[in-house]
Amino acid sequence: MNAGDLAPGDNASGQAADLFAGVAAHGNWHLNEVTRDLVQMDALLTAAIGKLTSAFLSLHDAVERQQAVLDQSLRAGCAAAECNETLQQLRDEIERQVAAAVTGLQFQDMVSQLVGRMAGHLTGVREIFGTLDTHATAFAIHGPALPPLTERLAQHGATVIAHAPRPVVQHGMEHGDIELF
Amino acid sequence: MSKTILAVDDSGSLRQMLVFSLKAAGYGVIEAVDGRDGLAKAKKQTVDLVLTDQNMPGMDGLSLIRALRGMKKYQKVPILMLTTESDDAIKAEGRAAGATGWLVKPFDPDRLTEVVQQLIG
Repeated sequence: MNAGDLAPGDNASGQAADLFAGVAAHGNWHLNEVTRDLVQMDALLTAAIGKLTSAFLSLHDAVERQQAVLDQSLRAGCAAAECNETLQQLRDEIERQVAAAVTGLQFQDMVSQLVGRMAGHLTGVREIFGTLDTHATAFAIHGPALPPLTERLAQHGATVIAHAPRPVVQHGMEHGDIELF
Repeated sequence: MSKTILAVDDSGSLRQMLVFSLKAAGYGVIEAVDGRDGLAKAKKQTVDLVLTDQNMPGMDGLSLIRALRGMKKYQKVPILMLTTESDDAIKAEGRAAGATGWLVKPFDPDRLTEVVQQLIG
């Protein structure tokens, strides 16, 4: 029996509708997850670059001011207490900015997790098309063996969902909470 | 003699940030690239605190904690989980496995060293 032998309204059309709905649902789920991860990655990168740029500019400013104080103390001499206080303030400012940069630089870890998730979802889409492709030949030769194919896609979806890496929850580069048990 | 911390994370950049922050606070740091590497290094020498990521290839953070808690010399050593995950269910799993605390990435170096100081001085 060939697909062309089927009459309209035959049970096969219902099976085909199930198959298409399954393909659409699984494909959409993968693509929605990828879209979500891309939006999150953009937010994380924007926040990280903002934090790093700000830290870099502030560091540069603090180092310049530190140098100015040192130059002044070398040239004309300033009261030791006054110089020490200014230099200490600048040292604190530099430490604050370095700490902010260390937090900002951790974006790569989260972005890498998001990229891993997206790659997993794209593999899922590829597997859906691969399943359809594999069955296309059998479909042409033996007619519509749609229920097993629909079932196969449903199994694929369940497996992917069960093993999908957990989403990254961070949307910015503010440091996270600490909890001691 | 300075205290030694085992930092386990598959992200090279994250390990660099940990080494930078902890060394600046006066601690010695041993790096491990995943749970299995962490366990091997922990067996080889004794460390004062373990800081581990959760999602790593091969052996994840929870499995590492369970393996370490099964060793006599690590029954009392503080083990901190440092991860992007903040879900209550996985935190509870970490606590049950024997984690001492849960730190959500990205970490702030000052807050991290404060917690480490609180635990091992």
